[in-house]
Amino acid sequence: MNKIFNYIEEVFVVLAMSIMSIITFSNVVSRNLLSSSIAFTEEITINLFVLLTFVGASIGVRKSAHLGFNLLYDISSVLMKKILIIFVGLITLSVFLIITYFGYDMAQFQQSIGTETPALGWPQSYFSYGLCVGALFCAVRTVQSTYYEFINLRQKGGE
Amino acid sequence: EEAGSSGDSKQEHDLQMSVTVSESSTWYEAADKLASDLEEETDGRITMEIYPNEGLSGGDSGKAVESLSKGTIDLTFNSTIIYSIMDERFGVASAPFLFKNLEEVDEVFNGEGGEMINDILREKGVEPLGFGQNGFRQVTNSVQEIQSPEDIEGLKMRIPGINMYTDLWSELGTDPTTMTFSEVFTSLEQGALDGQENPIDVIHSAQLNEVQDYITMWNYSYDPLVLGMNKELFDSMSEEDQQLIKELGKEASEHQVELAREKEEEQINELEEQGMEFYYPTDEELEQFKEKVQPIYDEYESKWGEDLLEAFTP
Amino acid sequence: MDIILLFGVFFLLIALKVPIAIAIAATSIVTLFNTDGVVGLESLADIMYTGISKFTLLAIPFFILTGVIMEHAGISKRLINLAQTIVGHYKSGIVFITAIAAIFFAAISGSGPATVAAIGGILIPALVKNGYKKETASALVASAGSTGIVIPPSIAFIVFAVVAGDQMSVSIGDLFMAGVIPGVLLGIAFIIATLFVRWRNDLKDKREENEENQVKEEIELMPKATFKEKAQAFYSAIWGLLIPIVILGGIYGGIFTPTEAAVVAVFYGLFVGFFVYRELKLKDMYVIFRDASVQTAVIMLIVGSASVFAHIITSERIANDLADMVLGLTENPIIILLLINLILLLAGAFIDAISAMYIFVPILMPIIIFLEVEPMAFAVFMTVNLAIGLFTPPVGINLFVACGISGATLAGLSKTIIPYFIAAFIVLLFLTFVPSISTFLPNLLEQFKVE
Ligand code: NA
Ligand code: NA
Repeated sequence: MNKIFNYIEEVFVVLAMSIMSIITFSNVVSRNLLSSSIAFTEEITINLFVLLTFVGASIGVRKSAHLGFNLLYDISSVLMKKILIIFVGLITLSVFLIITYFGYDMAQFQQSIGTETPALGWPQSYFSYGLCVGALFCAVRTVQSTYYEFINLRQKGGE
Repeated sequence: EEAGSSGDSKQEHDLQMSVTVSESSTWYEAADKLASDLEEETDGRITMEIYPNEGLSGGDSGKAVESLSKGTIDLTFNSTIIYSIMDERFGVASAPFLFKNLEEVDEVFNGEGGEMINDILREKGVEPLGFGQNGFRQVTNSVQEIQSPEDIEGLKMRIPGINMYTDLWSELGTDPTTMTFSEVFTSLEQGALDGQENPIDVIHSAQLNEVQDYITMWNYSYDPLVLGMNKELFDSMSEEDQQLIKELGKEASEHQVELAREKEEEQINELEEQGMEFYYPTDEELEQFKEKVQPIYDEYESKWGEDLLEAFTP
Repeated sequence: MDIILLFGVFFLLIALKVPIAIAIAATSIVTLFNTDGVVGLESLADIMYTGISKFTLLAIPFFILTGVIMEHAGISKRLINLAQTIVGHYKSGIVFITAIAAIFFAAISGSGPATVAAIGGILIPALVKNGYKKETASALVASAGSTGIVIPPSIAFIVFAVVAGDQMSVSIGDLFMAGVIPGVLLGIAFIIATLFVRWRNDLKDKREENEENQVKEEIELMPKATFKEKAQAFYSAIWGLLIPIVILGGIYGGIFTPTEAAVVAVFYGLFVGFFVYRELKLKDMYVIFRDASVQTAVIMLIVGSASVFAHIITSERIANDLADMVLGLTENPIIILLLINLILLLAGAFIDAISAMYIFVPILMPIIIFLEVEPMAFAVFMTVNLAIGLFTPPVGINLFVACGISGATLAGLSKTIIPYFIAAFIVLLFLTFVPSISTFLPNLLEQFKVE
């Protein structure tokens, strides 16, 4: 189950990054060599960029790639470490859940007034729901990685 | 804020307004007038902070309009071109070669056309306080004087990232591209682009005359501004306050139009002095252009609606 | 709005190990809620969304992707090899090799940690073999890697242009050019610092520890490279060396925008990796794109939350209040500029360059405009401040990457880093008070353009 989840995230970002690169590159080529522009496709790219950010951030949570300050944590006692892990987990989870909620709020509103992307006329809300799902992924990953971190610490503490 | 849905006439309001362009613009000046008028008339009960350069929505005009409708921004000055991401009908105001001159514009916006746009704005949660103007959009380029449709063919043009304009400029036989405006000057300078289109105000303040030799005053697309307020907020105010805001809003928009027209004349003179070559096409030439873009009308009439288009046809 | 609350909550969260991106978001959420209640939060997702979905910022993933491709395509090792044939025969040649290779790679990569990762993998072990402590090796590579955001292309300059763009238009092309000389000066400063460290610590330690254990080095102690060897190394590395020319030439030649330049570099790198060096395999692509995506996401999540923070600074007029406060204390430009540097160095110790740009550019811009400092020069010395932050503890992403490679600990590094800090600080002072070091190159090119 977890493996599938990993796979979905990774394949998504790999595809998103590939599409973004291909579209932007095609744009350069078409404008300079073919003398015709497909610049309106830039819209797909910048919206995919947002989705890439949140799904990629979710992988980042799993890999502990998000930058932070560990000095106080490192010199803390095991008990203090446990408290900090829970604390950080709760803060991170709250932030991602709040983003999910207000991302959903944004998408719903866009759907209700019918906002479209300017050049292609695609519903903007589709991308916003994407942000929402991405942030939710991040929240799930936070619970997961907080749990593993806590368990690892307990095992070490018990030795 | 208190729950003053019934419209407490003593209620204090601390409004936030977003303006697309900088502090030195007529847009800002008009917004500033509105802010000081409001404060004066209410002895400081209603105040308004203005944020230039779309400072409340991270520089993104589309998001500003969306936030206005949602109520996270109280007031904005935005072009109907931007509003068209919420509803394609707003595009009618910028239909190609629709108005010959400003007299025709005023007639339509003060008449049925303006009222119909106002209704659509209200549908979208925006209370219209008045129309300003960004002006007629003119075309500049560095290749040759554009007099007829043949002169424009094949040029690499930077255009607004809105599908109507993409269709329109493809119809004109150019190679249209959308590009962040901040990158346009350099691209024109380096020759990555041949030309662009914008109102005189934008051409002048971005100093495009330094990189563009020719300008054709073809008034091809009118760019109106909407001074809009979030409707829910407006409706929550007392009747007196609503009245006051409508009145002052109208004055502020009229002031902006006046300023913009005065300024445009000066700007044209300055651009001419700095060596930009102005061309004013004849009625015949304009007719040729209009003919060339007729397919846009065929395609968009159904999107804009027959009635609306008719109301907008002078 | 209470500014003490804003910064207080922020630093408290950071101190308690909350990731920076989350700390910024949490602080912003608290502040929005505190100002306007739940209604205040309704703009949260909108601001994050518009903060990220900017065409100009697309240069970030593409420059990151270029860096990762170059690492896999074998370009970094050829650049190192070239540096080796140029300076390998000098005493302490490995130090020069490191600095020069860092500068070469910095001209390809837009990020500091990417530069460290690309050259560190080869050069940290080589430095250690040559008798340098792993702390010294890490410090050198981490600091030299910080030129990654000063020498073009640079993610920091792109972000600067985007954030400052709300108040004045700054050309990314010009900023890139402005960073060239300061970046090279930094590289030279780091060489001097390493020579100093070597002279003071390592040689002595090496004599004590390694007398019997003589390791034959692969990289140092080479005979002077012949012209033919140099030419071969150059020829082999030329594809890498061409990248900065493609990028800067493309931007300045008007062929493409900085964002497009970045994506051209991506495809160029793929071309070289697949068809010229033939070190890339199709199956590498998954890993390359995945790793670049995660690196991108980590930065862009910061961009998203920092946009909200910057939004609060703007909409609550915090910047103007602070500027008034500072200018109320003194209008002496020298004192103010020193103060700005101090604040940025301090900030850079704890937070990353991108966050700092979003937080401090809106705050400092009114002061910079008042002092009539050339925006390009400001962009450069601000970036150098934050580049220093990349290798100053406690939070320095370059240090993290370098320690990850060398196995050194952050605690062990803290002292070693001091000479590098001082060296960079001296360069920083020059850049702050002699703006023409930064503006010279872009202005020169401007003249060519006019003619
Ligand atoms: Na660089
Ligand atoms: Na640091």
